[in-house]
Amino acid sequence: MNNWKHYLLVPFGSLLLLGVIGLGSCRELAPEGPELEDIFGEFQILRPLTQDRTTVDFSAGETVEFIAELSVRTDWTLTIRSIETGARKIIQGNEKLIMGDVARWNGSVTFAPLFSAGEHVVASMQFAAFPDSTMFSDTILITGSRPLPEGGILVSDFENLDQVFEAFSEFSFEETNNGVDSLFPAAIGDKYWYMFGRDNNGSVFVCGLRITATSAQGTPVFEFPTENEEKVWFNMFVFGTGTANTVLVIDFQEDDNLNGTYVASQEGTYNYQVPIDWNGWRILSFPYSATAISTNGGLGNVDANGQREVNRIIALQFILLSAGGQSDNSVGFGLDQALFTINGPYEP
Amino acid sequence: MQRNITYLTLLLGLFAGSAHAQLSNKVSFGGAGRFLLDQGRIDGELLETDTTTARRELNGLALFDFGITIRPNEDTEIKAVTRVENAIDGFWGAGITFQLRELTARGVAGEVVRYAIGDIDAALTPYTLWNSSSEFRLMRNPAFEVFRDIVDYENYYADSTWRQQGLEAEWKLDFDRGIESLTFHGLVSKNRNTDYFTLPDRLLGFARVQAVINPALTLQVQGINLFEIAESAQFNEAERAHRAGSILASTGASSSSMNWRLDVETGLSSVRYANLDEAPEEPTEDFFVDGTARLQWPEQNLQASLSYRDVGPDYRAPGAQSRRLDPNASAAAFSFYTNRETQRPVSIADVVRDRTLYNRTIAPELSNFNPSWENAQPYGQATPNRRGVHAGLNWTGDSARRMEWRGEASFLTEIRGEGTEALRRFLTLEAAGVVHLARYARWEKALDLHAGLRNQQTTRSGTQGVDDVSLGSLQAEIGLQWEIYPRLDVLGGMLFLQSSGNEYVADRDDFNRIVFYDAYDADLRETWISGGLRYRFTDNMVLSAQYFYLDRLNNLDPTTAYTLQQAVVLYNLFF
Repeated sequence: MNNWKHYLLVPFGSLLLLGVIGLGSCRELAPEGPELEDIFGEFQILRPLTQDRTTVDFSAGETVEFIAELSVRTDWTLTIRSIETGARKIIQGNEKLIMGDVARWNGSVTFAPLFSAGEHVVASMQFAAFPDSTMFSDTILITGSRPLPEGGILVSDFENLDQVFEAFSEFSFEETNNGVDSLFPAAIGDKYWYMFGRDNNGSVFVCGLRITATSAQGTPVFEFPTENEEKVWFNMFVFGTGTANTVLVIDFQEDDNLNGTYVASQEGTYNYQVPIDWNGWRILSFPYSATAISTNGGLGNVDANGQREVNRIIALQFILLSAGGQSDNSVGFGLDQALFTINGPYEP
Repeated sequence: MQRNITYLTLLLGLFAGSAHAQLSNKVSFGGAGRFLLDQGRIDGELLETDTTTARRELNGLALFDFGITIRPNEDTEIKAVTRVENAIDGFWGAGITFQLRELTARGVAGEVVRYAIGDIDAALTPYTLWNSSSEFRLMRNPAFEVFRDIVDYENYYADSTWRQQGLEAEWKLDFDRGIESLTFHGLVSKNRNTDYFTLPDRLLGFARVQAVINPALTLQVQGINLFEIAESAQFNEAERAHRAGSILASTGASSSSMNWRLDVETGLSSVRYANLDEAPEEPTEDFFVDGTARLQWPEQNLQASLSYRDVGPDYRAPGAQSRRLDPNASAAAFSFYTNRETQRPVSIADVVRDRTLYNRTIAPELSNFNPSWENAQPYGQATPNRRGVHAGLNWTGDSARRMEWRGEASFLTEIRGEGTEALRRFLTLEAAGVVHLARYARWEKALDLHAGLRNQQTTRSGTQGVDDVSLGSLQAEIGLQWEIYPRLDVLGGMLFLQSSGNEYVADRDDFNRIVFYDAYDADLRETWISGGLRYRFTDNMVLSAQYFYLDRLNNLDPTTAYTLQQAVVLYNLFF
């Protein structure tokens, strides 16, 4: 108490406090964030939905720009639907001025099948908060479909019946389908590969398909512009049939010694497994780094050089499994447009 | 009955006694043990059209944390805590897990520098590095307190510290003239691990210098930096750095009749981004100031405080603004309803009991909060965009300590409007206390009645017609502890929340900028009551059996109303 020094802090602290309070009153006071009136004001459609063209050739790089204007920012969904096949592209946003790149369509699809040349599409815009205010565009004719991504390597689109497909199955498998088919609309084109049947003895494995690099790319192994397994993506449309316990395994067989043949007991197989629990077409995409070495003894679980190498993939296998491991278990799926892309997943 | 209790006491008392044992001065033990059995039942309107949600759940666990502290010499101490946990349905050891909960080496190097390596609990000031308390901590309630203690223990909440993993050092210099001492304190810890591809390492570092001029005058300067190392991820070039620093001056004086103390803290923050698309090009900078005066009258057991705070809208200090509680997390019990498609909203019962709702890490984003729970200062004292006063009064009772009460009031306003020029105003009033009824009647056993009340009002008188805000929230808590037999207590408790009105909740991007708003409307009432028995073997070892009943009604959507009944047996030990 008898030390006078600490009393200096009282006026010093008070001055500091007053100074900073004064500084605080000089702050920029412009409101932060978008204006509330712009979001929660009265909703009106100021400009109905239109598009900048009525025919589009996506193969020539053309796009469709959708245009509309609203009085407020609100969540909207633009659905572009094929009149012929039901293919759909969904674009969502909350802007009030819809033009330019806000709702530009480059021919890609959200729900397969893909959009093809000769199809007619119409777009509709719905509002989550105003369900009675849906508006529609004019009909648009597609004269050219969207090309494969640059650098993409097609494994198979199952349209070319001259391509070599190696089908195989479990001996007691009651096989109803394991081949190119067209029972229902393909994801792209007219055909796809269809596997369907009944596991009669609970053996898990049902049937499979093998496609080599030679038959797909004409090279001994798949050749990519990068050896980075993070940048090489595998993509494929898979049609779920709604059958329980259906599992798809995609095997990537590596020719570790680059002698042109694959020996399952000595060379590695890396696989990706996914339950097919949906109905209809969906796209499946994953980088090669997401695969794991096979755990089946004698079937690729030993890697000759101990490394996962994207530049040594000699063949792909698509395996249908019955996950239940029980007899009288019907399982199946369709496969279409299997391809590798570089740097990211395929955006059809 | 009396004999059985005596045997049980003896058995568990021996166990506790052995836990405190030391092999020698070089080795000692500590830790915690818990056995929990939880039988729950959910009913109500929300299940009327729900055919798949299980109506009953039986969960539980047994766990044991075994801590060993070794002192190989008088300057070094090594502490390790291992955990063995087994879910109640992990039969024959099938659900057992082992983990290392804590590993720390600490000591004094060269009789000069105090250091610690490994798991470190760190804090600075409420505006730089501070783990602010979560919601619904109005008072210590005997019916709920053991669950709150478990939440804190499980999430490494010790006072206001954040658990870090790194290196800490402290060095003190004493002087014989001019000033008394200078203390240097620093820490470097790893905040996030790289994924080696696109997500870089993030580190936390701070430095503090404290100068004690004399026993009544202290100056303290600190700086903290949360930063990324771009090169630690192969395909990443981006970096973020959050820096904050402050100066804290404290002075005071004491006498037999009155003590006073004045703390003034002010500081700056700066956020910089590099090589990030859409990030602000200019650094985001702002400042804060806090002045607090405290008075104490020792003879009257009375304390009073008055504060002024101004925290800028762009003041960013992740170490002080990270939240403990995530209101959007999925509750562990009955996580989903409506045919398992809808996440059950977190209730006040989950907040008190569910350890998985809480966050253990410092993050640069201003995370989500529930306006009905806390709207004035969801990020603690360092909540940005607030200015106002706070007053507190604390009375620890007469000479017989028959009751204790505290009250607080704060009035804050925004500094900058959100989506409008109009500013929100926040008024918060709270009071809590305990009455030791047994002391009035001169009973030897305890009979304590706890009560607390908290009211928060948020208002904004808009100018656009749509920007009006009016949200009220009332929290009440009652607790009863009645010792009916030595160390055997009857427990009773109630927690109540009522909230109604409207608000707008800001959606923020990765750079904490507001990009949209969600309209928030509330007409909510939650009541949680509890009754049961507890036996205290020691102050840190209890066995309790309690029944809980939760009634939750959202009047804006009555079809989601539900009740939750839970019967819980808990054996808990800290040693």
